[in-house]
Amino acid sequence: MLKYAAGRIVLTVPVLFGVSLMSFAIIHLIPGDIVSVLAGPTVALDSEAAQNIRRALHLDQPLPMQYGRWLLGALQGDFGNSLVMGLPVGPQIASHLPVTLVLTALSLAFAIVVGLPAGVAAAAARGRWPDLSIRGVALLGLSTPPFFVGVAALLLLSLYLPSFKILAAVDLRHDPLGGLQALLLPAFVLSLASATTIMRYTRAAMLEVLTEPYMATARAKGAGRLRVLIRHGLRSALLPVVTAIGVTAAHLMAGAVVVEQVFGLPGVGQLMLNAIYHRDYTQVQATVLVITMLVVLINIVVDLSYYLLDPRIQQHG
Amino acid sequence: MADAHPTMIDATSPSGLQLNGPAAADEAVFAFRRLRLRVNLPLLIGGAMVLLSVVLALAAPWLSAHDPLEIADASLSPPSAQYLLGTDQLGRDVLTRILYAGRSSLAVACLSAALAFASGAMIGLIAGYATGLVDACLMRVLDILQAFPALLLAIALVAALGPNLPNLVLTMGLLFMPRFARVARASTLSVRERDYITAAIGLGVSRARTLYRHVLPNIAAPLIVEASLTVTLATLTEASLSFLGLGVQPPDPTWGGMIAESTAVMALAPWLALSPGFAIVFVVVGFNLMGDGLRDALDPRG
Repeated sequence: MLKYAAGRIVLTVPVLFGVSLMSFAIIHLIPGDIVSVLAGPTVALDSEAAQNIRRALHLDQPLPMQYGRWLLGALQGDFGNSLVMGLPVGPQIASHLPVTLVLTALSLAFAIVVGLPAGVAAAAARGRWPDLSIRGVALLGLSTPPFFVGVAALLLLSLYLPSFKILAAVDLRHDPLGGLQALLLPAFVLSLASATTIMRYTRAAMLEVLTEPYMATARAKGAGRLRVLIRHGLRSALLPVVTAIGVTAAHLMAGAVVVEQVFGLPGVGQLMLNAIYHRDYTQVQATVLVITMLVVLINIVVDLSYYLLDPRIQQHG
Repeated sequence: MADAHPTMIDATSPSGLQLNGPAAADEAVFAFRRLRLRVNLPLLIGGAMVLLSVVLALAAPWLSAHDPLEIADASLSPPSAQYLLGTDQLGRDVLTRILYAGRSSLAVACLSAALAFASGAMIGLIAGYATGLVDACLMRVLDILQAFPALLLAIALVAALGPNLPNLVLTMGLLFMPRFARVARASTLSVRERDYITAAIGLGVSRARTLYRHVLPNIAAPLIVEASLTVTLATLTEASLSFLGLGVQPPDPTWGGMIAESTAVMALAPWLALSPGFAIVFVVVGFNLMGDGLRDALDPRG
């Protein structure tokens, strides 16, 4: 186990290095002179504001030095200072992260609760109307951008349920229960695409398992239909579903950026978009890096749980 | 490999090519027939939906009596005979704007998928055929690109480069490239062991020609399926970006942008948010059905 985990983590190091390099590069992709873009065209290049930007980004040093300095800081949790506010961007991200994490976790829970049974039901009724209708709904779920579901939900609620508190303030630290409540609808909206993915993975895995001889054996032994499906079928089909969770984690984190914007939630997505609108690129850089690191981390955890759940890997790996 | 056997038949000699020709042609005809035979319902419906969307978008200037930027009438007028889907807060015809928005959405989605297809297929071919160090290096680069949540990187890159059509295509092409590269690499790895490739190498066919004439046609099917599914992702990504204000810039209409603008006047004019949303869903369902249908039609195991 330890050997496997260590190997997996070592494999991640070059990826993380590349990720940091790309996040760093974002600021240098801005066309034209960075200082005049960031400070605005009216600011003279030798003015105080321009000097501040040069100093904040260490633009007087060669690129590799700038990158090294940024990376060393980032490793210690120092992502530089905001170009707009002048404050360090790390604590900003830390204070916005809980909302995004809770939103993502809630969505994942919704997606599993909806997607898993739907996948099992669809596989059990392959080709008949429950399967077809579940797949039809899934096609719609896969084809609708979450922000549109969010806007449509807001619209319907404001028309038919005006008393529903849709845009409640979210303050997880001082009012965790109220905050959680306010996150329910956004989490549901965000979960649709992931529920579809999990449904599809579950259905495919179940269809494969259903043809296994031990399923027929279990039926022949006299076990009930539902019991066979769940105890014998779902147990073996759970592995691909774990993979699906890893796949959807990245989608959820990125989707959260958009959904937070729809519902006005104070998460890292909103932080990043506000930074973009204010051309605060150190903030953008840091947010991209942190979210991507989290996704990479989640995928390591998924891989390791895969190892724990699948005896075949343990024998060969 | 080809240059390692200088004594083999000269690649440019006509006899060498003819030996190889009929087999490849037979295979192509066979694949084509099978494709025709396996036309299925999702493929037909999806194809029809996609075709309809493309025709509507292309024919927008002739279909609509209005201009997408023209301030036609009173703002927020409800749907009527003259303005089938009503007007927006500036008094512009919503139906016209939806049709014109389709032009940029479909252009961005298709062009970025095409860019991803071309670059990804090339990288995958090279990686799968070269194997070894080249393969390992290319795959690590793909790992890095795919470590980012796609939409997140798209937002950051478009914001830095500047939101306009070429930058959207470039960014999304880069983001979707690894999908094609992986598919192409996996197929190339299995195809390169086949006898007809060994034969081509034995005949002294150059490496580039082997890849182009003998490997590429045989890995095309999974790449085509991937392409139609990538267009759905690209359409959704473009919609999200334009919703966030990072798509093609106003006053030019985008579906995402129209939905974003509508949220301010949602209670007064609900039709503003719904119709562009349905346009997105229609196009994406069409491409999704087409992708599923193509997979069934082209999958030899199915």
